[in-house]
Amino acid sequence: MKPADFARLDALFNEAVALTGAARDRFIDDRCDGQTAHQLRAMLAADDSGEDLLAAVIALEGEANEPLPTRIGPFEIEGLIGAGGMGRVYRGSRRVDDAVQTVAIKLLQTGVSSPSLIERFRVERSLLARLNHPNIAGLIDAGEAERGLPYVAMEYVDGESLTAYAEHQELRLEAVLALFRQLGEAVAYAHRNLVVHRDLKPDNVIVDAAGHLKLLDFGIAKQLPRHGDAEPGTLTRAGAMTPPYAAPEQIRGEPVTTQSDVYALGVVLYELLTGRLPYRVTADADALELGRQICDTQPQPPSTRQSGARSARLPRRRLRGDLDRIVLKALRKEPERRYESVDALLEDIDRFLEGRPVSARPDALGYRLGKFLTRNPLGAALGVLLLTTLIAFAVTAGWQALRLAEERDRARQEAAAANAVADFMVDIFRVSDPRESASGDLSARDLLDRAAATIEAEADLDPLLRARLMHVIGLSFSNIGDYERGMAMLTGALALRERELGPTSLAVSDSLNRIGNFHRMYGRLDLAEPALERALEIRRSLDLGPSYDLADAHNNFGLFQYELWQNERALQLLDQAIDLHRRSPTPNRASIATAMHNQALALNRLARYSEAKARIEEALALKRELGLEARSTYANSLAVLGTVEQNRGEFQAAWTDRQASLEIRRAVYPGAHPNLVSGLVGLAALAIDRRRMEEADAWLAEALTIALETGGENSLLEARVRMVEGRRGLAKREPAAAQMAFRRAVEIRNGRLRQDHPSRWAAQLGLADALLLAGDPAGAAPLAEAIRQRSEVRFEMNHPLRLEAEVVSAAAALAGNPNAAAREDLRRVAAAGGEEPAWAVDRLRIRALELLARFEPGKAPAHRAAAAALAARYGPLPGDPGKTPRDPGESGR
Amino acid sequence: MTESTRSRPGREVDPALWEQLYQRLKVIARGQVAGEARPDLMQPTALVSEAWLRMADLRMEWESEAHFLAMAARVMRRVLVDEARARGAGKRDGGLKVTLNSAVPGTAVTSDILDLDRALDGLAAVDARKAAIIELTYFGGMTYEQVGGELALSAATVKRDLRTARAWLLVQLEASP
Repeated sequence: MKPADFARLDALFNEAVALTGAARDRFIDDRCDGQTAHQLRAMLAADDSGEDLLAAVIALEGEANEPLPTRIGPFEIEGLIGAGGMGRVYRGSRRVDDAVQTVAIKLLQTGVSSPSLIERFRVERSLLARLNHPNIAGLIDAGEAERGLPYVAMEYVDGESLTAYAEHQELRLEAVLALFRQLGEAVAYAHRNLVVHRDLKPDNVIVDAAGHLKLLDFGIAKQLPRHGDAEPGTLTRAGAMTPPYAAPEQIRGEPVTTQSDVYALGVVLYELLTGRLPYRVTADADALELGRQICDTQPQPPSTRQSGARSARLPRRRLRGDLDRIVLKALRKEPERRYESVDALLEDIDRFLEGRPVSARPDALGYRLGKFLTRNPLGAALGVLLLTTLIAFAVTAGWQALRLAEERDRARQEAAAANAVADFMVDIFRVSDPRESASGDLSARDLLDRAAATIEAEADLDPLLRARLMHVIGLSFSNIGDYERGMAMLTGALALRERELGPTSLAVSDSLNRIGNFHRMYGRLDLAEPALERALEIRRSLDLGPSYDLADAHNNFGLFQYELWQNERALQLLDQAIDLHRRSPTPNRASIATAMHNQALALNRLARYSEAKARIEEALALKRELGLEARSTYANSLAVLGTVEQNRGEFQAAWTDRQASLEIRRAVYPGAHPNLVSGLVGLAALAIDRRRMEEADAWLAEALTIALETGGENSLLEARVRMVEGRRGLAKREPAAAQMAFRRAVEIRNGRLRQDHPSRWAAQLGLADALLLAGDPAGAAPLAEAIRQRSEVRFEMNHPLRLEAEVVSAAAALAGNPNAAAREDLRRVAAAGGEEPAWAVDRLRIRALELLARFEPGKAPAHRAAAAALAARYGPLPGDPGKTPRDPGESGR
Repeated sequence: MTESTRSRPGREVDPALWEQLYQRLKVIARGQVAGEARPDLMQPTALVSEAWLRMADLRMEWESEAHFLAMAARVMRRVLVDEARARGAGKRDGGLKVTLNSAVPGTAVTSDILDLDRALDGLAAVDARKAAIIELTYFGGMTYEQVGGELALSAATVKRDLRTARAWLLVQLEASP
């Protein structure tokens, strides 16, 4: 590292330590590249740990020559063996009968005897008390020393570590394996007593001068739950570990089983045979790289890593073949593909020693290749790829929300609660019995159901913690498209928060904000408005200054105004949101990008397409800078860009961007999700515009299925699909189909939207158009005329909705009674529009010109020529026959 | 010492003074001061203050207590590192390792004074001021104000630097094999 790099790191660190939770994460995401982010996170974790290793190291060295405590319990103290951050290990002795008994005594240090630590001591003591095996250093005594500090006295083993012993004694292969067998037997014995050691490594295995081996240190060992036990085995967290000997599942924080000990034994055997670890780590490799190798890199066979010096006593040819296979089987990434027990491993070693065929078979190449191809970079090799994907999806979705929630509640003491939530969520997503291999077909929904049930069953949960858990689970439900259950959890959390914190706390406004947003997302605007409004009011009343919260509330309320078609108001609120985000003490670029995205939506509605395009491209650029390309948020912005491009008539670009957007969404939402509907519907609309009916049919069918599944009947989502179905009917000249679809849209929108909501008008106009196609101008005319009058008040003459109302009502009027006023209206439509091409406007101008050509036969050629000139502004879709595509650089990206 | 009464990080200590201090601290650290009882748990910082009292007793000339402590801190670090080396620390089975993040030894990342010494040299290479702050605080037992006085920094700067430096060192110690 160079001084300049360090100075940069120093500056980043100083900014980051001032932040907490989500704000800190956002800061790191925004400001750091991968390597720096990694370093910074490590430093922040060290800073957060609160442990002062430096002081401990110095103090211990200072103490090296200190007088020792003279006695601990019945033992006289003879020396200091080692120290932990929280305790010391001494050598002591006492006389028993006529013999001197030497012990190793662990003593908890003053000032650190937290209940959890004392509990850990207690666990180790009770585990050891149960284990009575010649190869396990047993419990001799336990009790309290001065000042009530607990101690544990264990058999003291005078010797060397396993690997040092094998080295110094220059053991040959048979002797090495015999020694390893002793270790294996100790571990197998512990397993039979339902104890997993979890920290097997040469340093914890001491061999005395007589060659007798003892396994030490059950400090982080774990009691496995018995089948049928009520013990909450799911709620224990993986403890400390020693990375080079830790199994992949330990690195990933997955359940630790007896198979994890099999893995560690594999590492130890590998080291005994080759003098090396099974990984190729350089001296300066960091923990991350080591973790990556443990999870992802297949170890080389021991025979190929044999170093020169030891090949005399451990000949390479003897390792090659069976012994290679035995070690590699123990080291498989997937616990269920290792030896099923330590006994099975030992049995294979016996077979090897006796010259019989071993059970271990080489990993099939196809299997390894398949694994390699399907595994994500950090490795998800437990055979539960599906599970991990689902969890990653459900959790990250809910997780970000949790972080936001965390940020908002920072006024309260949050760290402990947040940890509890984290533990809980992580545990929920574990399979309950650590020995049962996880089944691949648990869905995220099953897991969330399980989480919900667990919370309900926990009777004495702190109400606020319960609220938070419900909140997070609610968000996860909503994110996987389960509106009903999600909403039930969120409102449950809201009720708890209101009861505990009163009606105007930040937590309450957070709940309201989320609830409002989900109502909005699922098209329940009537329910969304009061929630969002109250959320904003609470935040304003709390007078937080420019903060993330206030900015976010503006954004959400702006979005809601957009939903109400109050587009100017929405733009204003979103401007405020961006400004607040920028002035907030923790400026958040991702949120700024979101607000820009929303502005682009409003601009598009206002038919200000070039502004909309510029704004959405700004949002996309920001999101790219933040590395969000694979996220749903990027897909959303791409979809908006596609819409704007379609409205501008940039079909090539619209097609590409909409496809790309849908692709991302499909990857992010493997199941049914409302966001997929808008993507599908957008593409279908584009296909219909360009007469690609087969593609449109497929997309619409899928969109309808998902809309009904996620939003239920009569949702605005369904209405959106129906609208495009109606347009398809018009395009195919199928009046019955078009009428039916538009009627549904009208019904739904009339039921859910305000009287003056333009989306209602659009549906009614569609219906009028369908009636016209069905040869019912008398039915169409009054409907179209009513909308035309309203849109006249609301929109300028260049707004597509106004133009459409003019065209449809004129067409209806002309079909009944050709009149001059209607022709005049059509001429005004034909003359509308600005300088730049806008398909959304021009398609209506073309239609007006075609109608004029019909009703003004004298001027027909001129009208047709004008229409053709307008149509010529726009190119075909990719893959369309005939015309050459327009400038491929159109999309501007 | 015309420059000021402040010692700069990395500035050479007068060899004679160094030797004198070194010997004193070693004697005190080993509890070899004849006929004197010592407190049960003696931290290096206590040793440094002890040395200060004794040196003051000898009526040696110091510009300030802070200046003495600064020098003593560097000497203390040396004493501890040398003692550890002499005991064979740093070898696989010989050192007194401290365990991070764990209640019991031998279960997680372990480090000893030699690891810390190396990490501190690494820090000095990229930011000498921060390395000096660590040394003064941890080995010299100086307060933020004293460190600030010694290095002409505000106490707030010292505090901030210390936090970064400590976090960075902890990461280095965790990464050291």
